[in-house]
Amino acid sequence: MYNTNEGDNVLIERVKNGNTEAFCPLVERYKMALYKIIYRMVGNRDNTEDLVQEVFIKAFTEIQKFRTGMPFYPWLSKVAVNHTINYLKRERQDRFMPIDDLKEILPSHKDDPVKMTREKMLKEKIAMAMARLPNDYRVILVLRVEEDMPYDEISRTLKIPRGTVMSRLARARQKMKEIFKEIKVNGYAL
Amino acid sequence: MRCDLSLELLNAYLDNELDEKQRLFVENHLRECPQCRVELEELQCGDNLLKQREIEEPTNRFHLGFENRVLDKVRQRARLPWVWRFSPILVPIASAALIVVVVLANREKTQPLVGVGELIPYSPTKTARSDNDLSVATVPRADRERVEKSDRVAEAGDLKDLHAKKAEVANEEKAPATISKSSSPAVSATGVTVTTTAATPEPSTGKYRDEELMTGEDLARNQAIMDELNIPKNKVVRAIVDSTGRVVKVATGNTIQPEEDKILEQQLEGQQLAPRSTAGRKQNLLYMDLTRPAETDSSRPDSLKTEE
Repeated sequence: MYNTNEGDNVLIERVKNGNTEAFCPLVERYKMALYKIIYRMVGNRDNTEDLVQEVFIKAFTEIQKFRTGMPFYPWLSKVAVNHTINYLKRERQDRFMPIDDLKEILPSHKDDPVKMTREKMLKEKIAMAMARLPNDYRVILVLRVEEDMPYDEISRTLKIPRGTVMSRLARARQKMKEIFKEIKVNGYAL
Repeated sequence: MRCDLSLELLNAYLDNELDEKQRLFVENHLRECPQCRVELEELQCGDNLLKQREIEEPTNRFHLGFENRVLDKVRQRARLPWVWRFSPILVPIASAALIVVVVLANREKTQPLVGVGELIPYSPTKTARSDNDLSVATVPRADRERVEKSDRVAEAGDLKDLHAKKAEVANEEKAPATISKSSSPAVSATGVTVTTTAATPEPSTGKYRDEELMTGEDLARNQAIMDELNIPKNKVVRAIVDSTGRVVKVATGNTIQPEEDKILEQQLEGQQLAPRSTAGRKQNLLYMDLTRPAETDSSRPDSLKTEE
């Protein structure tokens, strides 16, 4: 059995030494964090769950590359982000989806208009706007705005220069602003 | 219209990613520029909206037993032989190799059976000729499908033109005894010899390339052509015809290695010496032997007689 209170580095050392069971508490510890970051980029629950599983398997196979003593989650999230980017490229989701299509895939309350509160509608529109962003812009906004990742870490994760992080983030925010205006998001100061 | 303060700088200010000097520069600018203050507010507002984004709750399956499923997969992977672990690399390489092999194999198959530039060989194994018969004999040859025809017409011809003279010289000077003996045609034979390795013709019907017959009309027509051109008997005349039956190359001379005969080739140009082949075999070229045997041993060249 494994001890769930043991630190990441202790568990990782055990995994590196061949104790597969020691990977279990790491999965339990970080699965929700990975779920959130991947969901923000993918926007689909089923695909996200599959991707989380794949990311943990990938992390296990590459665990020897992890330098013991370093924080585990940044390394794991880097694996997750890159795996998700590859998935998005494979799925060719790098295109603007028509709003009508988005209405079908996003959680909707069309069947129950009473529950369709103003706040709920706003959140749906935000999700809709994010889904319309190109992959590069969506990923960088997720990392900076939703994950609160510093520029240097984004640079390391995406393997792009800091200057590129700055310019891409500026363009992503401009694009987001345009989409908000287009779909008339309430509460947006225009 | 915005001022010339870069959006990157404004975004970095919002994200608190500027050093002290840059931060003071932007703050001083914001005091003086209302447009940039509005822009900054909009950026801030957009970020606030994004942070409100909802995340769907994962399924129960994700909460229950997820760790065990991951571990199962991990254990499976750990048990895999190295070949499977490297399958993402090995599979494309193996696929590419397979494609190359298939392409090369098909390329070999689609090559013409006989190259136009090739010499026309004489087949010493040519057999099964009989008098007044359209018999067909199968003589397997090397690795390519070849169809060889020999149309023999027992009819004497006069030595009038250049070819006739050339044939005389060739028969007198070049024809070796060993080959001549084994391959010398039977007296007054009229027959067709088809040689193929891939498709065995039916001897009784004289079937030509499985599907078409070399009929008596074909033979008579060839005979007439040879008559018209005054080709002497016993003169070795070889032709390569394409699948439409038309002449591609002609050679005359001795029985070992006939030489290309451009003059006769031009004269035979456009003549249909063999039946049109079936569709899909257009690249196939056929050997034809148009040598006409002498009627009797007495009519054969003196050189052959003495060798016997």
